[in-house]
Amino acid sequence: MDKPQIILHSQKSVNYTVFDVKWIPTSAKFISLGNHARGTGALDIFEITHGDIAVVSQYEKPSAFKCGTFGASPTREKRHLATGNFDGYIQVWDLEKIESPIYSVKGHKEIINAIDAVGGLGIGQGAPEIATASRDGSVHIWDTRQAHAAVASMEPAEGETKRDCWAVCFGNAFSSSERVVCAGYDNGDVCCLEFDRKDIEMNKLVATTLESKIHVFDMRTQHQEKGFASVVEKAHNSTVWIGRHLPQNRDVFMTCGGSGSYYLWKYNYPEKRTMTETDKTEVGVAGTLTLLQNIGLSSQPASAFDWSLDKTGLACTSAFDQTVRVLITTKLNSI
Amino acid sequence: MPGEYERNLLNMQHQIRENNAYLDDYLNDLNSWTDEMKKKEENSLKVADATAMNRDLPPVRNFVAPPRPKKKSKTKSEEAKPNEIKSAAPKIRAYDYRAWDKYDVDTECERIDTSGKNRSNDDEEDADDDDEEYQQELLKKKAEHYKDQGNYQFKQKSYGEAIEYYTKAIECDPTSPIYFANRAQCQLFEQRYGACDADCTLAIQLDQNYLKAYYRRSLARIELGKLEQAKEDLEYVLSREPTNIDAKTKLNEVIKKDEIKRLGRVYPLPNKPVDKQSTKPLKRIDIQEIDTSIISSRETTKKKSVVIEEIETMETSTPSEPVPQRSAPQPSISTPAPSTSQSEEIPPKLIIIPTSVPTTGYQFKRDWSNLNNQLEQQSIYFNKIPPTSYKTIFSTGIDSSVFSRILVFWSSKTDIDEHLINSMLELRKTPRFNTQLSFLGNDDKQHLKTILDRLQANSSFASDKIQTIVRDYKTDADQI
Repeated sequence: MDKPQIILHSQKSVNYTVFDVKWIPTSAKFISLGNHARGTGALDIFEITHGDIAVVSQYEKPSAFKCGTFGASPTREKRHLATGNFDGYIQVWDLEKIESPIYSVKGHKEIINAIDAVGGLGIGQGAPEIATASRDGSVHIWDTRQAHAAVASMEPAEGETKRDCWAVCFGNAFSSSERVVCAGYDNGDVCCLEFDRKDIEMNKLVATTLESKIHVFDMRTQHQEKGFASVVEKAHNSTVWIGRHLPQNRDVFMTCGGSGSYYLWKYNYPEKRTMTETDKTEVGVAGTLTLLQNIGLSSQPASAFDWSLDKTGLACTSAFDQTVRVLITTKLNSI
Repeated sequence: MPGEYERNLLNMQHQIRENNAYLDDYLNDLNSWTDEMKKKEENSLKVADATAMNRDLPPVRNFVAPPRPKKKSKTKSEEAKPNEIKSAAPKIRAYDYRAWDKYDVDTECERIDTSGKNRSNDDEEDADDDDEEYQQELLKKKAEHYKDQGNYQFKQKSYGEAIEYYTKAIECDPTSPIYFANRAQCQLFEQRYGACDADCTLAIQLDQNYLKAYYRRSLARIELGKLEQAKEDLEYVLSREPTNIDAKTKLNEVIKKDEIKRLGRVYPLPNKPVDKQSTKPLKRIDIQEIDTSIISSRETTKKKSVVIEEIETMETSTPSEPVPQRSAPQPSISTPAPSTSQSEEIPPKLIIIPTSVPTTGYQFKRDWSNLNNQLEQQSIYFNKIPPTSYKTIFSTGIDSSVFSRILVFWSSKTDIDEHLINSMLELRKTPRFNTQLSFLGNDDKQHLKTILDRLQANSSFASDKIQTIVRDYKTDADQI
């Protein structure tokens, strides 16, 4: 009974499909991005007040939003939200002047499935960069200083079939020039990818897939043939849509499933993280996962989940039942 | 067992209460936290702009060529084609059997054939001059990109890398003076002063008004020792920008350095303790050659030191007045002209004529030089020497200055005596006498003539001796 408890703090119904929710850095507010029935994009700002969620402002944009991130915001005070929408546009919005984006480019030919950013918010070093993954099979990296073209792109070669790219994440951003981008495609059924920390040398990677599987890779040791060591868990009895690490403790993460369930996990490191094989090569050793707590909140899949950077245990989440929820997880300090 | 059951129940109740309490705490905490965050947010929004833009971000990662600006007349046709082709044939997936059923091979082939032709036509139409302009633009943008990279490296103090980037920028666009000037600055830090000078010169060639380049070049030139040229550069900068403080200070430095170079380091004497030393600036005074005759033999071993000290009282006589050279022997001459020095007094010394008659050439030479061109003393000394020892004393031959001096003595003697005749006779026996004779200057020849005339005029002595003398001392002057 001294396990962490996941408690629903408050919830709010909205009249559009919510695809993404994100906390606004340095505040008690969060934004939700979604798609109205009429095909326009919804951008709402909510605030937690004593025991309830209050709507601060609502905006409607011409095109539906699929994903967003604050990761490329230059400082914690100046909040720039980078979004990807259904038409393949990448846009950066300044929350103080939401009327028009400060950066907009048609980066992809098809819907942008996932977006991630690094280098902003005062975390890590180097220039802020945004990565987008799209159904057109390509991953592009953007720098807001270069308007017309991506800084880098990863595309399938000419003639190869293009697989939908479903997930993308940054990692290994410990210096101003070093970055690693990880992309997951539909032929691997990868729904979500996340490194435990973006701004350190890559340590662990969580990959959530269809068929209720959660993979955790130990990224410190790469073997030539065997690759990275990993541990697999089955949970949720449905597609695991999201996996998110707790910012304050990188060994704890939450996964959200297609059944509307939330599972809180802890990764335990093995005694030795590497092992020398008979042919003198190093191979990684995966640890174990322990389920700390779980809760079922809705009947519809969870579309988004975000931990707050400012308050341990506070999280916002959204589901396809057109609700946004705020969760509290207790006793995380004693894990 | 009831005990255990009850215990478990109690435990659970306890836990639940604990959890609830915990939750309440958390919620209260949360509420206060939200209030705090609101305040923080308001504050931060006010402060936001100040620090935001000061971060030194690395430049954009890769250089991507900007999209090619197509000429208007061609855009429509060019745009039309790709769209056509695209809409005509979206890729049919392998598993899409229905679409494959409807697929008509023949029409596809036709379409491909025709579109291929059109596309090739378009390519030909693409004018080459369009290409060139675009290429130029591209290179310029690339150069700027490299410059940004270089600037970032410069800020990180990796000057070597910065130089490489600037070099790449120059390769892309050699017409911009900025890249050269930036590279020059890096080379200053890397202490490659020659390269810096060259780069600055190039920058100036590209833009004569680029003052930064002049300034950096002057810095390089100072280090290379080209002080004059550095001065020129600095003066140019100051003429264009009189308010430039850096240039002013550097110019003063250069002037100082230059002076030191030319004049040598100058310090006041450390005789007095520091607090008693005068703080007046040092004044430069020209060095005076004073008559060396006043310095006796004992004094000559002392080195002549250039002593420049502060002027305490008078600055009366002008420095340009030379001390009279051949003053009458004044053994008690004390200080020289007051303008030179008041510190070191030359004490009055008697010029001593050596009493011992020289027996060797060395002794003679030493004594002669000690007499320091004082005619009286020298003639007295010389007359002491018995003529018979001339041969030994002048065993290596007479010095021409000695010989001319001897002639002076003899010509100044108004009367002829035995001694004179004997000395003349003996002197001609010294080795290389004839050569000395032929090398006589005009004055000396005059003297000689007077002597010989006097001899001939005087008939009281043995005429044959006189004859020999006259014969041997014959010079061309007689014939003039």
